[in-house]
Amino acid sequence: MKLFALALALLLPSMAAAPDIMGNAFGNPNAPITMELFSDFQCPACKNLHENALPELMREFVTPGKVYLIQRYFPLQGHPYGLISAQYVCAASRVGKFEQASNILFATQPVWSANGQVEQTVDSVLTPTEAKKVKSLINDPDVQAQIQHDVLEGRGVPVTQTPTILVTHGIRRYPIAGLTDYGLLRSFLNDLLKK
Amino acid sequence: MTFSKSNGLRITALVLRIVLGAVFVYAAWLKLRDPWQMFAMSIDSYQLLPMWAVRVVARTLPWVEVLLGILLITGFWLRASATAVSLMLLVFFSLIVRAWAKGMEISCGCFGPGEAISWKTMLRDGSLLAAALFVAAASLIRPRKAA
Repeated sequence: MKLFALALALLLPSMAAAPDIMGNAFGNPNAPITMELFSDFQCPACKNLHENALPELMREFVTPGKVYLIQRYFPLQGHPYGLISAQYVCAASRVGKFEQASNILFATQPVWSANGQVEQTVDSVLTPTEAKKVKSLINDPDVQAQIQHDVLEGRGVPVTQTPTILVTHGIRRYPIAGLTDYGLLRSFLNDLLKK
Repeated sequence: MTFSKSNGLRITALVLRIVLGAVFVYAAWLKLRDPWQMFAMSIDSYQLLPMWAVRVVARTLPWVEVLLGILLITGFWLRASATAVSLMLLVFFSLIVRAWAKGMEISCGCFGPGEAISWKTMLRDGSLLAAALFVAAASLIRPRKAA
């Protein structure tokens, strides 16, 4: 744990220059509500949220410009492929394939979680040229820095589990951990929008 | 003046009920300052109640906590309030232990959002339960004042 904190501290200078968002944000940046979703691609609850609540959230709130959604990388240390899957998705975002890469990883999560074939899974939604570029970007300092930036952002919330959604409306911040029901989230967002 | 054992128990019960009452009021305030849906999401994550019950509990439980907290602090209806607080904490503690035993990675919801269930949560809630049982027992064995 201390080594991890030390590594983060050493990375801080490069993280300061890291882009906050690249390919992982959706909707209108000036929307009244900003929602940051901290997830781990190997986390089953994140898969559940991604496949069940997220499509409705996008349709009802993000696309109409009511919510600005930022999907943040928060690989958990207990998941052996959490970090590498985040690196592949972050690298894929550099070639404009964030959604495709995250969709395929969540859809086939039980498979690659068992066999470890993260690269092959992400490659299946990329062209050969994109796959080559993504592979070269995995260890790119910008990719590493963006992930570390998101992890630090999460720790500041603090994120204690995934998925965690941080809803910001005006000066108020509402952390929501372990979302289970989309109806409650819809009701919550609609009440905030009325304020 | 001697400090008898019964005096010590009475003072302990008094301190514990004031602390418990303050904890209940504080926990309620943390829930009431946020929109009710935040607490509802925590309740729902235990996967025990139907959605209509989740909504009812999320809207009413913090007010019940305020009421019981004030009753404990003031000492009005002490037997009833101490017993009610003990039963509530028994339910909360059972739910937390159940969630932990099932490996559910959920938010406790005890003091607002964002607290994952851990051994610390169980230690804290177990201590509160023990304190509540002590206060309830002390109030029940205390002789009623003559009318």
